[in-house]
Amino acid sequence: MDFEQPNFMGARMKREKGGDREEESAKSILDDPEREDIKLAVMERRGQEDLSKKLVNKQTPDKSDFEDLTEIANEIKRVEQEVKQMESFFGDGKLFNEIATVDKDFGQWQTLIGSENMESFYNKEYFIKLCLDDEASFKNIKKKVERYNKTREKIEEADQGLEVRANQLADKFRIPQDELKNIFNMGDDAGRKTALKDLIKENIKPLMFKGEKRTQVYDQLQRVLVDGDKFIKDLRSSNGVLGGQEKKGLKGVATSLLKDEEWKEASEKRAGEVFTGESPEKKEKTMSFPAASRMVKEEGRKKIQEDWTNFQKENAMGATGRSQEEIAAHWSQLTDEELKRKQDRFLKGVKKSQGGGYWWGIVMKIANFDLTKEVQGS
Amino acid sequence: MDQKEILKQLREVMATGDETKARIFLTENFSQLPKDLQRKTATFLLENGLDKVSRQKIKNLDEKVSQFEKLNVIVKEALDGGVKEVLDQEAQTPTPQPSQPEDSKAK
Repeated sequence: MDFEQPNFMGARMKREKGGDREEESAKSILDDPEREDIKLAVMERRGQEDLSKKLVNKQTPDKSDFEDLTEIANEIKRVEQEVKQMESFFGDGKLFNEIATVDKDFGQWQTLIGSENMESFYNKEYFIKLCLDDEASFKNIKKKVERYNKTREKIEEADQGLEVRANQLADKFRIPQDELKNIFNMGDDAGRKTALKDLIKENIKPLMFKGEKRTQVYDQLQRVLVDGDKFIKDLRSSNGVLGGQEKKGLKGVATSLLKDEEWKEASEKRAGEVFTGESPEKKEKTMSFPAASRMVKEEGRKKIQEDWTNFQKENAMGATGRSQEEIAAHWSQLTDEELKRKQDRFLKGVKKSQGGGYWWGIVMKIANFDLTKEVQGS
Repeated sequence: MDQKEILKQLREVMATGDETKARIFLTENFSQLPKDLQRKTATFLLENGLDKVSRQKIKNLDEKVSQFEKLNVIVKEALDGGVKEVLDQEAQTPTPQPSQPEDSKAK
């Protein structure tokens, strides 16, 4: 395919006079040297040699040829936008470094590639190919970065919220902000409470005696507290994952696990297999995707319920063997923190039994993708 | 070692079911893997890494919100306690001074 052949563009222009604006725009996109890499990738992906040949050889290209061109131009624009967004996420390399500090496998791989080479590995060419050849992964990466960015923004918001609230309180009490911040930063809660109480006592009297009605002062202060509560609620409700952690017991465990990205992906994959009839059983081939998805979720929920019941029994009964009532009493007496600890341990166990190891996942993915082809070819 | 040989060896590693071996094999032979496999591995690593970094951030946010909640409770208790003590003291005083300006305002 040679787009530089004069005949290619020439053939297009042989179309009857008065090409509309859309075609002009498509032409300018296709002729733009800056977009050459995306154009070639898009054409390659579409197996579009035929179109170029057709246009070069055709003396009078028909309407469908130009419709194809417009479609290609739109695809180029779409890929260009998507890739630009990815470049804005990863371009400065900061996110790679942050991932490497949290994920030791990624860190190890970064060392292998060389941290200075990360941006040149995950470069424009990489994202163009990913966008066109592996749309699911591309969308996943985009979604994950957006989620990461959203959480980062929330953290900044929380920091600012704390600052604003400290300022509001300081303002209401007519005290220096630094003094209040020092109290907030104190190590132990009891000391913090006492110091704050003393500060309030000192400052509330003059306020009351300055002619402000007692109830007004109190209302104003309460309003600051209500704002604080609302702020916390907003922070929590804006983050689905955090919201899930507030729920207790089995429902909480199932909710947070079912919300977990890994589980969700595995569940979607399994639903996809069921839907296309690629599941080992091949029994649900005719099922619609939503039905398959519901079925898989139900399977997961039942499995979690079963595992959780067993886990509760094992952890409560111990070697002594307690009655059902004793088990129930034991679980109802747990504090939120204890329950959370148990849930975390349980989730860790479930994930381990579901997924296997990290690098093993890579090997399996590669194996599924390429070794199969290689084996078939050999 | 050619690519066919690498893939053959990878199959052998897979058959052992040993994850550590798989990791070492892949990292040691990464540059010799076919370009497509390199991309696949890179994508897989990036997706998983992003999950972990997101989870870390969510944990950080959760900690911040918990800290905020804790502070809110402390402020609330201190405020209730402080105001109550001031009011109690005031009630014990025979001629409470704050009522005078309030009363005069009311008139």
